[in-house]
Amino acid sequence: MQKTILAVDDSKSLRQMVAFSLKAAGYQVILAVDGQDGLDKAHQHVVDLVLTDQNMPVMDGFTMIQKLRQMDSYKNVPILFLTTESSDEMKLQGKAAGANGWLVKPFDPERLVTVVQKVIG
Amino acid sequence: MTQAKLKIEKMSSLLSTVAAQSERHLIEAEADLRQTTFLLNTAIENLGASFETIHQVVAKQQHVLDYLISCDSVTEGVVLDISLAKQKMSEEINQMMTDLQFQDMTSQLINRAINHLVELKSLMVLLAASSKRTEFNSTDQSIQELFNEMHADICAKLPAISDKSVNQLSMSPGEISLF
Repeated sequence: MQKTILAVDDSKSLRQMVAFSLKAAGYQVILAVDGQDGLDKAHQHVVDLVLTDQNMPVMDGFTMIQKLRQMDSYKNVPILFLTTESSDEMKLQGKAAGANGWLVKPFDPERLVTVVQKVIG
Repeated sequence: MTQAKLKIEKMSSLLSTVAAQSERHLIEAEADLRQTTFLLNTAIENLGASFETIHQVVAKQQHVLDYLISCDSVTEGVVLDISLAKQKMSEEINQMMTDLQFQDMTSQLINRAINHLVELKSLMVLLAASSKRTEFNSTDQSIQELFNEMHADICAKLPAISDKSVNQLSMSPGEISLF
């Protein structure tokens, strides 16, 4: 069955690149423009993986992840950060918030697909 | 009017002029950066749209070539050439998609620069307002108290500088960590 990925980023071009890469690999992709929109879309859909930026208006990635982990349906859904942040401190914060991985931008489309396949098949 | 008070009033006038001129330059710099952001956003949207169109056309061409190969309509040499071209195309598309992400990073850096300019503008306005204060007499203590108050006002309103989130100096793909 086709797996579904929720991709959250306030950059339109980034959303396009992520969607293009993952759809080409056979995934269904739902897009959100910030953390709040991500939360709303997470309530509306069943997703197999969440891929999110950190620095976003309205609601940032850390806050969105913490709220997702409070939902029963998202306790065990893999969540990966895709962000420009690269410090160890931020990675530790991401892990503490409930993320399962950290990808630093810019991403290589083939490597992104490889990681996603490793995480959800 | 005492000499000290006269000098202070001249200094106030100088500060006021510097603040006003600086604010004008900062307004222009902020407007230029916002325009740069707009143009970059427009360019990347157009590039992205063209890229998707090209990719769709190339994919269709590849389907035709795959069909011709399946019909044994082409020689082995041509099959090899097509295979190599397909691989090369895939590599270049991958690289292009990595490079097209530059706009996200440059946009963040420009927004950060704009925020700095906005804060500097506020500082200039504050400086101009402080320089117009005249409620002091010509004693050293009064002058010192006035300067201390002005300094405290400005320091209290200085915002913290946020950490930079974009540290990339090249477009090499970033590292991946799975926890």
